[in-house]
Amino acid sequence: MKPGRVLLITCAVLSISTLAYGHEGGGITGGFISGFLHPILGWDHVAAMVAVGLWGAFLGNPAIWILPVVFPLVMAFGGALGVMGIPIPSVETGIAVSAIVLGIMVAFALRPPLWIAALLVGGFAIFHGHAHGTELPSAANPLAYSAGFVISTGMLHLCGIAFGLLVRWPAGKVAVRTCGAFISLAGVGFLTGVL
Amino acid sequence: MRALAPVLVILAIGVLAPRLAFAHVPFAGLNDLYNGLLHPVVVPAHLLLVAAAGLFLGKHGSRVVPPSFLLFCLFTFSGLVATIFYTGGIGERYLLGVAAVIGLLIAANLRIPFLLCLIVAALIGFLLGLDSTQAVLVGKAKFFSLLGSGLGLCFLFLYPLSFADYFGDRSWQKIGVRIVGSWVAASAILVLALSLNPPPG
Repeated sequence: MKPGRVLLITCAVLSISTLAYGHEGGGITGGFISGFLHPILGWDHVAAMVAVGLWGAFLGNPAIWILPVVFPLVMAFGGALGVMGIPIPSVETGIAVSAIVLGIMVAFALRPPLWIAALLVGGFAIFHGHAHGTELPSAANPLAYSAGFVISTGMLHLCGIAFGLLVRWPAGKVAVRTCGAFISLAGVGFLTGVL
Repeated sequence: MRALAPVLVILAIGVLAPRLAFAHVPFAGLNDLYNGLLHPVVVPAHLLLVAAAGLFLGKHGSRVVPPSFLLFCLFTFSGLVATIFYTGGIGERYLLGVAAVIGLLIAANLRIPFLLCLIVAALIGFLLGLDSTQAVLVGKAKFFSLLGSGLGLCFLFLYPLSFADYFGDRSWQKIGVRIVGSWVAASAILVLALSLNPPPG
């Protein structure tokens, strides 16, 4: 057989073969990835987490790191309630409202005392944690799932903080406040079911 | 045969009644030492407690790190020796509870006196060693498995300890350690909640 024909047949065979997945994504890997993706794949979670980071950056030190510390701890409490099957009314509404309120805080550059900011963020964290917690029991590996979604939440906060640090410049301040307004509008979309 | 019947019944009850302390299925194809070495990595409660304790003690600085590590290793192996006489373990709930409390201490940036640091290192080492029981193994297999667990715990403890000590100079590094501490506490609280309310089936 001519080399050209062999090459053609080889290419044809390669193009029709399916991929061989070495890892099925179960166990520890599956638990971590499903936990890691859970906050990222939900736009309502993403909006609120980023807003926490933005607001922290806007408020400056020490809020810039206190809010991202408070959030996962209270979120874990909400998650525990979810795991235990203790219902919280209107979880999805609470998550949508968190995006609206936190977005407004950033858009209007509101600077309440730190304890009020922490209380507000902590209150909303319970709703987010509850949503994650109710999915935890079905996860392949609980620790990997928990670590995955806690780290992912932290990363989203970091995204918000990184973008929020633009407030040092006048144009950056406008950009950050505009982002807050968009998050708030997105929250309205989540609440009304448009998004 | 009739005389043996009661003995057989007692033996059957003896075999069926207790739940074996076979906490974790070992990795197939690996020897006992390596299985023991990996044991702390695959037990959520051990992993979280080692991470929390290492970060917490490492935050106290270079004066605390070397004696804490030595005491941790010493008492881990003491706990492992104690499993020869006591195979009941500690229970992951208690370990997770301790991990959550220590994680909160890291997040809150609380410090404790030098002597208390050493006591914490020793106590946690002993608890982890005691909880690494291998009730189903005997003889050489048990020895190598326990030796592996001890080495695994000591190696694992060294990472967060060094991490927190190394990243303890600048304020943003200290904040980073506190944030990681809050993540450890959050994960421990969630796994604890799950262990208290296991899913049906």
